[in-house]
Amino acid sequence: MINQSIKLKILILPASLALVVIVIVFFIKPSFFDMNEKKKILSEKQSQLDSLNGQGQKIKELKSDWESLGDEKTLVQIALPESENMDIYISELTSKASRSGILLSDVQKEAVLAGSENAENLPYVCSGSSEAFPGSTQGGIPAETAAGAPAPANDLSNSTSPSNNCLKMVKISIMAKGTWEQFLDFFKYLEDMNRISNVDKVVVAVESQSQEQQSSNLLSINISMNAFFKKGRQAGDIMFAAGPATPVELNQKAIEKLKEVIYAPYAAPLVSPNGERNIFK
Amino acid sequence: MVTNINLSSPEVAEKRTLTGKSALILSIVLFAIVAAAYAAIIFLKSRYESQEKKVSAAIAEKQGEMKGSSFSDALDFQERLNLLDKVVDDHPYWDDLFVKMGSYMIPEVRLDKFSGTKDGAGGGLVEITGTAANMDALSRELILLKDLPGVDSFEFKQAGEKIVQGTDQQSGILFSVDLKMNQSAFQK
Repeated sequence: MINQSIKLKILILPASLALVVIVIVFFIKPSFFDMNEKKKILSEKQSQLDSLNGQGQKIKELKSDWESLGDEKTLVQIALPESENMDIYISELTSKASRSGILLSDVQKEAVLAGSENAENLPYVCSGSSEAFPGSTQGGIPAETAAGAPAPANDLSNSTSPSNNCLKMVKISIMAKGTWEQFLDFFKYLEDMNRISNVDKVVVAVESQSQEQQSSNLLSINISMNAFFKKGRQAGDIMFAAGPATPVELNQKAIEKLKEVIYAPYAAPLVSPNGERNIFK
Repeated sequence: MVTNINLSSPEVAEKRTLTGKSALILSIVLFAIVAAAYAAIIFLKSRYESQEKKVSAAIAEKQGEMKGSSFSDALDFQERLNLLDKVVDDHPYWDDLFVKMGSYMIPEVRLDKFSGTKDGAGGGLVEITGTAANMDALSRELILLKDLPGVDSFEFKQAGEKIVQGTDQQSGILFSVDLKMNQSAFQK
């Protein structure tokens, strides 16, 4: 009896222990690691979904804010149109010129070359105009990116394909003649144009005068201006890779700034009363 | 008379030995535990898999919804605002600079040419050429110009007698100066 028991002990227990070890090593351990991997993936996807839900909520709020806007939509649309809209722009310019009494002698559209000084200087401007360079590999890429700097963070407020994340620039050169007061008036009008334009370069010179005249009241003016446009976003252009902390709120500050520029009350330029004077006379 | 005497101590007498039956039971229990652990792992794995599929589908659906046209207008508007914000920050006010400059020009000095160029940093370079009545007026003007608000650096380039064409008469001192302006010079 004792011998039988010893035999069973010798046979069954070690064999079963060995089998258990084999099962653990070849089945349980890989499955356990596999399970942990699945758990990790699930946890990552869950957090991605949570993040997307958070973003979705914010975008819904953004949409609701956007829908509640009134004239501001038109204001932004005019300030930054979807195409060059040169006809409307020139019309506004000539209207400002006639209101100030200045005589426009020449208006030219200048080419904005890829990698040009201006395109490189302004980080929000695409480095090349797609119209000017349809085959350019750099066309439509923000200046920063084209210059080799890291691309902007891919957040929701700037979450577009690179070609959509910058502005196209139209450069206009104006030549005009007028008096000092008209010239100051013209600048006042240019500064609050509906189409946002930034004066880049100004050259003012006293008109060439005859020998009899001691000084001329007439000034010749050469102004270089930058206007901007941005093509509309197509549905599906958006890439969502932002975290839940990314601010997706309507940029009310920008609307206020825009209103300050466009709706600035006109005030005649101060000349003389406070000591200021015509610097060309 | 036979007398059975247990010579082992009471502790030894109570100690159970592992019988074949108990070894079998122990093995079966061990197998049962291992099988249960394996089954639990397989169950959890398949559960995670099915949950992952559901979450992936929810992500795809959410992304599809967010990429849809219903939000694109609002997002496009937001993007325009962000870009406009930068453009407006860069908006220069040249007339203020001219008027300010007027306060820093003495009556004996007038400009013949003003050339200003903005740079990407918000500042700019102003090159002026003018005529002063005499050297004394010019020196006073140069001192005054250095104090013009928004001037970062001042570079005097040249000054010389201005001769009226056709005559040999001097009509003042012709001078040119470069002013490196900072961003505040172009702001309201």
